[in-house]
Amino acid sequence: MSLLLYAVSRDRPMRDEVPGLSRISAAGLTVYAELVDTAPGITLEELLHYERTVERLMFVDTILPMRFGSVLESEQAVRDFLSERDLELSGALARVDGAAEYGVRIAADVAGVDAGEDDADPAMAEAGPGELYMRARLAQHHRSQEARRLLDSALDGLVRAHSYRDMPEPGTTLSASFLVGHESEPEFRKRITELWERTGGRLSWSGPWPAYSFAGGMRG
Amino acid sequence: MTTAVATQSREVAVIDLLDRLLQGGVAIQGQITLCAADVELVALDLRVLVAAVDKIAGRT
Repeated sequence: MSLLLYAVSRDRPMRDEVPGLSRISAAGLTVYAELVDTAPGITLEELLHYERTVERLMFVDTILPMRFGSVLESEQAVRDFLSERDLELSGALARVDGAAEYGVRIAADVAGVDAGEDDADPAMAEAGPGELYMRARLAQHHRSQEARRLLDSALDGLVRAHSYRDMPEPGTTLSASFLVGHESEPEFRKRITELWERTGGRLSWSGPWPAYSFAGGMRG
Repeated sequence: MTTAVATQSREVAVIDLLDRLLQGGVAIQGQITLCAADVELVALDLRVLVAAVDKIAGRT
């Protein structure tokens, strides 16, 4: 048997237990874990089970979600993990305390994001594959920068932290994650809805999420 | 248009779920049963796949 890890929290008495999970503690921290025969496969069913469990934890405790599929072989291994990384984990818990994560994806063709391309440029007709590739990369970069400015302007002073990823997949210019204090969540949703309307619905947002993007090192 | 699934408290796009569960969160290395590198590769493949499916669905 192994232990599938769901989340890290501070070691303190809980208001509510989560059925099926055990708590393993060391260094003032606790891991919520489940005994499993093998690591979960990467299927939608397993991913949803994991997320639903982490969300239940999110509503009863301040947590750092673990990356999906994190399995350790024994309770002692879990205690060693907590002891070796207690400063980092405690710092991250302080960062996400009283906050939730929201995600925003901006489509490649969002209105108001100008790539700076000039399709009418006669030089483009004579450009080779290498130049066309570099021009396309430059246009993508401009779109990402504009999308960042759009979000920064709309959410100015409202979020605790952000994490941006350019071109995470085809059709998306920017994927952003925001750490938002609970007191600011209604205003965040209002401003994102306004931005959604301004851009003709070419962005999507989701949340509140457990703070996956702010549990470890900051991205972007 | 995006492929949506229901979590504990709301509906979310599969691609947002993949992003967070497979690339976010506290990562451990060394003793992890699912190799971190494998997970990242699977995450990349799945994200591209989901984006392609969403694109096709959006056209129909």
